[in-house]
Amino acid sequence: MTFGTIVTRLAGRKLTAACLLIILAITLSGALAPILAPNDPNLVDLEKKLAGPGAGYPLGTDHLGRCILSRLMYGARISLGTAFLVMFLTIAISTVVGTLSGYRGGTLDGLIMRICDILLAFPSLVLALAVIGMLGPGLLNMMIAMVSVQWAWYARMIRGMVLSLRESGFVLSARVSGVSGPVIVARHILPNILSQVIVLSTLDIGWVILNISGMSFLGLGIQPPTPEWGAMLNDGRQFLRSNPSLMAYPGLMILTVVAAFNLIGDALRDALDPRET
Amino acid sequence: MKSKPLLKVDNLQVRIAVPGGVVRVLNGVSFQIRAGKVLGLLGESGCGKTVTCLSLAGLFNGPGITVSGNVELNGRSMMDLPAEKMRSVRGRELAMIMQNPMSAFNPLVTVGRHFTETIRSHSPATGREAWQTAMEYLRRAGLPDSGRVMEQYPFQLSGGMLQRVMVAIAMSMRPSVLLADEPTTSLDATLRAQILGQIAHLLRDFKTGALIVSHDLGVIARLADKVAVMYCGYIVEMASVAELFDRPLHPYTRALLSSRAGIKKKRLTPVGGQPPSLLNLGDSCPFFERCAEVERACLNYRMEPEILPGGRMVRCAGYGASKGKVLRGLA
Amino acid sequence: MVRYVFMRLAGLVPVLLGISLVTFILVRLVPCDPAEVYLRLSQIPPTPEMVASVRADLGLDRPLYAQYLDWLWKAAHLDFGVSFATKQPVLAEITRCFPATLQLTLASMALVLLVSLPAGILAALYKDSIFDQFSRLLAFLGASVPNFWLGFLLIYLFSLKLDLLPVLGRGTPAHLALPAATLALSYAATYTRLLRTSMLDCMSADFVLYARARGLRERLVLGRHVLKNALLPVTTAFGMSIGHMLAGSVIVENVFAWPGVGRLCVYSIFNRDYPVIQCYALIMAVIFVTCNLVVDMAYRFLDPRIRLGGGRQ
Repeated sequence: MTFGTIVTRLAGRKLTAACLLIILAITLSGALAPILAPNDPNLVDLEKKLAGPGAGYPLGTDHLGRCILSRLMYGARISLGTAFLVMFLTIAISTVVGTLSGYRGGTLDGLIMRICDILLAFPSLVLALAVIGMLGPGLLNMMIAMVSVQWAWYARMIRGMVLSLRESGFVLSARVSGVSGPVIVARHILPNILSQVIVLSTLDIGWVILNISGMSFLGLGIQPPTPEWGAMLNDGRQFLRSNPSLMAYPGLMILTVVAAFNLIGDALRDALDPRET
Repeated sequence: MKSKPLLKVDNLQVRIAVPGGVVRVLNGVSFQIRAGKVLGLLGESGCGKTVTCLSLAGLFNGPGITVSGNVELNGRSMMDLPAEKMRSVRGRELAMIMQNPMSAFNPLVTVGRHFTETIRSHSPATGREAWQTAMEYLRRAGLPDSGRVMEQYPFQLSGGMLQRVMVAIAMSMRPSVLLADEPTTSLDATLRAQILGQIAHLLRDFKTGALIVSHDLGVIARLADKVAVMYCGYIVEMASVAELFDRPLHPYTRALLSSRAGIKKKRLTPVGGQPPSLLNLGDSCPFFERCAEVERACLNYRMEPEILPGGRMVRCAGYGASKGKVLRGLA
Repeated sequence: MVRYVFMRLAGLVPVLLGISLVTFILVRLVPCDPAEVYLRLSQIPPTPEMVASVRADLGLDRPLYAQYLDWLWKAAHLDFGVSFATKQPVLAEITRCFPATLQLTLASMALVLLVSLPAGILAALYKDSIFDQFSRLLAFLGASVPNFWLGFLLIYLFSLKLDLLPVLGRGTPAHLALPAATLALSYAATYTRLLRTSMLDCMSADFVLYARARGLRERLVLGRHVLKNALLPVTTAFGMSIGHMLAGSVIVENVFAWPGVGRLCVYSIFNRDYPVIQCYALIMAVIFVTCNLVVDMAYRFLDPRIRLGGGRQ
């Protein structure tokens, strides 16, 4: 199945199409935040703190008088951007490791798979916390933690795909006609697995976003005053009684984005299900 | 003097509403089964044999499915029985043997449990009594080591043994009518003969009527007194075994019989072509595209049953008004 | 079976060694010198002489493999060192907090079962009914809602608006209600759907049709022939998530100021209290692996095909 047919099949469903639109809109508002945002997200104006929605501040202001809408838009940039970057790094690392492991086989394969086994013996959140705990809180360290938790899953999956492709007819015939190993991997194996891996990774994006905002909420990820949804939630917690909307908006944003990604993921799984084709 | 029929099926119709139309799964199926008599239901897969069995037992239901017509068991109509009444009929008066013994048993439940739960669902027997009954019937069905079998899980038994267990469970209720859906399809030839013998024996002993569904002419020939040939949800021909095998009337029956492997024959002639889609069948005979004797009348034939002299039934335009084929067929 | 248990336990040894190696290596990730951190936390200015003497105390001046073996030897004797922050043995710190986490997790698990068993059965029996649709929606939301946000929603609704339940801390059973519910929701939703799917799979199985054909009462058909088989995969999945729930309590504990190990862990991260974090990761991983092993063996025991061996499948 080509990428194109998957996309057309997805867009055919109304709900999935709506989800794609939502994600597109939020991504754009994040990407274009410097143009679209009504205010500077970090401009502190204590005169206007905790104001309700009004002129210049469509969603009101937070406890430091910063524009909530602007912060949400810049937050989209950070949350989605980080999630995509984490996913990209994960795929990059695990493709290299998984392909090496699957194509080379032997001791190297055994060693890599044992490392994966051991990393997968940790509950993912615990390992992420431990890595952050050692490296210290912060955006970069959190990304390292997320990638180090995730790569083992993908490496194992990719290794499996490579193993099955290695024995397939077209790879065998390429090998028989004397094509070298790296060329076979680059020409025949990688193109076949990458689209699948990318599709599968969308299933996990929601999970990554939840974890990033969760870490930031705990204060272990993105640090204030950077506008990030999880960190904004944490900022708002003291004002739960007086200004619940401070927590409502970022929470709703996370929920919407994660829900949209999950729905697309479900639709993808259905679309990829061989029983349906 | 003929005995009263135990099971009387009259104009049984099954329809399934699907997006894009209605699938007519069973069309005007009618037959009777008398005590100790066996009716064989013969046909290709997908022709409605299994649906006939399930709808007789009241087990063919679901969204979009309508079952109409009349089914009488021991003189009582079963079509409007309340669910609980129907349940108490199933398994007791109307026992069933399923197609695939390997998947018909719950893998987590012992054979003994399967047996005793059936007995105790229909009688006030205690666990111990049910266990005793079960052991006895397992022995009668050809499983001498019944105590061991009772305590085993289905996966520990072979398909043949499980088939015997199913026969034993069915017969232990002394049912009036036994429905056997492809009872031996999944078994190898030696076992098949043994188990068919066992079934025939038990049916005779208990004077049980039976409907044996099969696509296998050998099974039908071995067990049945009468045969109904089914095609696309119609019974296209019904006759005694001897008559049918001697002088098949319907072109489809003839095709089926000639597809049978025989000692004298060098080659099998399969029935050519595929059955048509059951969705929105038109006014023509559903067999006409595959029929070797097709005529103009076939294109506008409502599948009305023709009762021929001697009581044989056939649904074929050739035996209609012109009666052209009657002479040929009975000659 | 005994042989199988023994084999599995033996197979656990390399995994445990691997876990210990990973947790040991974790501390090497620390970008600055742990000795310095130790001194700062003890309010002692880190002069070179002081750092050197602390390094010697902590064994940081010895070769890596010696440090690992030493650490492993002590860990095997349940000595995980001393917390930098409190100067208490790390294990004592963690065991002090563990009951709270365990209580929270057990309460959540009970909630998950209490909700998802009946809900999953009903959703399967009344497939495509309003209830089924509702459970689908809830399952979907449960998988998408950030549980820290959910926690605050519940606090806002039940504590601030309705004034029914206490907001923070641990004490009465009422204190337990909101954190347990927060932790339970997504799992309850997942297991409701899982049980539903599993029930529907079983309901279309041949043996269920045969059970009906034998005229069993519907209750017996559903109880013995559908539910019993449907629960098998759900049990496994549920067991596997025990470890995840224990770990997942980190966020819930922080929302509700619940004094468990998750809160201790986050607190220790801020304090750079490396021995505590290390021990936390080690213990959680060991619990996780053990849970999975127990579940796997329980599964084998529940399924006679595997228990008695020689299954055809």
